[in-house]
Amino acid sequence: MSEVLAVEGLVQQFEGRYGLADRIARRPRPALRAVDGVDLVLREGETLGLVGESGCGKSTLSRCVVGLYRPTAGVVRLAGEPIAGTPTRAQRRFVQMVFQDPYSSLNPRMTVGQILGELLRYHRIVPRDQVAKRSRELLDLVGLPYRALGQTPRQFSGGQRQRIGIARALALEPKVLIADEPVSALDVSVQANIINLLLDLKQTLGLSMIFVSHNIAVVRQVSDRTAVMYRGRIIETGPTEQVFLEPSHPYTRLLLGSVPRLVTHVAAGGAATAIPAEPVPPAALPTATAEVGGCRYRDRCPVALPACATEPGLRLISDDGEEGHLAACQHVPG
Amino acid sequence: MKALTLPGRSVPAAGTTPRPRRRSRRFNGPLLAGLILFGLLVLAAICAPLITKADPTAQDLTQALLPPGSRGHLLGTDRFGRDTLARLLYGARIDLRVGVLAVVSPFLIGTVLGLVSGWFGGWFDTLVMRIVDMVVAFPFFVLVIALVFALGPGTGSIYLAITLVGWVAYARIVRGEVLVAKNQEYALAARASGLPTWRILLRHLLPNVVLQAIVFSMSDIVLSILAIVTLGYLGLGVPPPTPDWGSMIQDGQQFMLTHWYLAALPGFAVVITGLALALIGDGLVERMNLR
Repeated sequence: MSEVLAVEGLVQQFEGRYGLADRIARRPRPALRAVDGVDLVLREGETLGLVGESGCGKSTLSRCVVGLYRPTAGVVRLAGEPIAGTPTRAQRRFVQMVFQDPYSSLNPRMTVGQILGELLRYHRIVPRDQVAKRSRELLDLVGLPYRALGQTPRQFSGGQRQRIGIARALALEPKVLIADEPVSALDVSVQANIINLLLDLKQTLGLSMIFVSHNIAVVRQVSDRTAVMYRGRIIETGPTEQVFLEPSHPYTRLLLGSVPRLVTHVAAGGAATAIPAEPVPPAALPTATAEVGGCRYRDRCPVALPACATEPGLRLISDDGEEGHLAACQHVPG
Repeated sequence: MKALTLPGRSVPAAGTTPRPRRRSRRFNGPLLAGLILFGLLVLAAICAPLITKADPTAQDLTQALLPPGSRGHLLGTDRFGRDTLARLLYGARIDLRVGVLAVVSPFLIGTVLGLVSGWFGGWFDTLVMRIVDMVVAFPFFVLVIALVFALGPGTGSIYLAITLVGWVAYARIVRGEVLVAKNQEYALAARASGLPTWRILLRHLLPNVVLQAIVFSMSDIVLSILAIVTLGYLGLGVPPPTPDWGSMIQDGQQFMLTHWYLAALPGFAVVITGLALALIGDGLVERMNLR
């Protein structure tokens, strides 16, 4: 399988306000690294689940990938080609995004037909006289009636709006679909419909997908591989079943709420003791500023070691797929 | 056995979703009332020659200071014997036209500047907002009066003065709305799909941010009419003998004790205009919140 999307050493730093007074007082420039050195590969036809708590950088990472942010460092490669500055039209078409909140992701002042037609015309997907026909085909794909074309988003329910959002993303005929929490704003009863729709479309259109969610169960259901993010870094990644059955990073275990199984990973030479699942409550969570070194989880980690003050990097646990199962923890033998 | 249905309630046919009944029709009470009132005022101004045959500038000192209800002069005459009704109607032509037109250019300039500075931010935003702060630091009327005084009386300087001072409000409103809208996911989606910036600004953001500015412009027309009237009152407005409500109030002022209606009638006209526009503004707010 060839890789359709690759992220290499991606850093996205947001600068805070830095006024003249701060400059005179020589205060440090406030900065927040939402994404701090992420490597990621998405292969053709694959679904990659991206999980992590809110604020861990999932959304920022996906926005970097669709070119909404210009990364501070690192590259995003689409089919091998790096995004240089502003993405080209072809690159825009290559990756499209389904947004989280279907109530704010559709322009309330435009009809569905206008939303789709504008994209079809601007990117010259079809000849002008075919725009209406293609719009109807898109509605067919997502299971909406044709009369939706003349209606505005407010006339639809949350689930229907998300279908419109998916149709908009598909209008550009992307190869990669980024679904950023596509169901978390929806009623539980519609969530399954939308997820099944996404999976169907992925099959029939041969898409690759990054599925971003904080909902572990959903990610387990949809993704072939899973990456776990914690405070701007990927701390564990691997084939979904392996990550879920044999979580290796203490944070993954906490996230999955599972009892640890891999006691053998406890520091070499030490007795194989069970690792407590409950994390140590942090005294105060330091902000994710650029200065933080070492393992980001160590202040909450129940099994933190002095060695955790240095960043372990992703270490290979088992290598059965093309990527293998990796975790960034000192307890994983390097 | 009878089907269990509640009497008087129709069951929607299977397969169709019952549309929720629209809670508001296209016009609500205040909007309709305001539009009718304002429409009547505009109509009266346009049809002035049909309503009264009197010339608003024709003087006849033998007929001076007649009370309302006099023969041939329904609302009486002023100290030069000019017909008050005719002056009110022809004054409406000047005041309404200048009032509405004086809002157009600040609206356009303020909206464009607000849109651009809100979207791009950076030094341009800082520059625009500092200028806004400077203009806002002075009271509106003081600045307008000072500018008209410097430019000289006449409609041209009134337009210019109100434009120079008035755009700041629109820039602020639109910028604030843009700051909210540009982080909405529909704006992100438009960017992610590679649409050019001008297109996102005009097609996606403008229709969503301009509503607040339109609502504000209604009350702004009232403000600019008041400004014109005030300028007329101070002798800086439309040069005499052209009829104008402000100068009529000023003329009538010296006869307050004997002929109070000379000042009260044009004052009343100002109040009615303000009321009509305020109703339209309220109605628009009510209509737009329903989305």
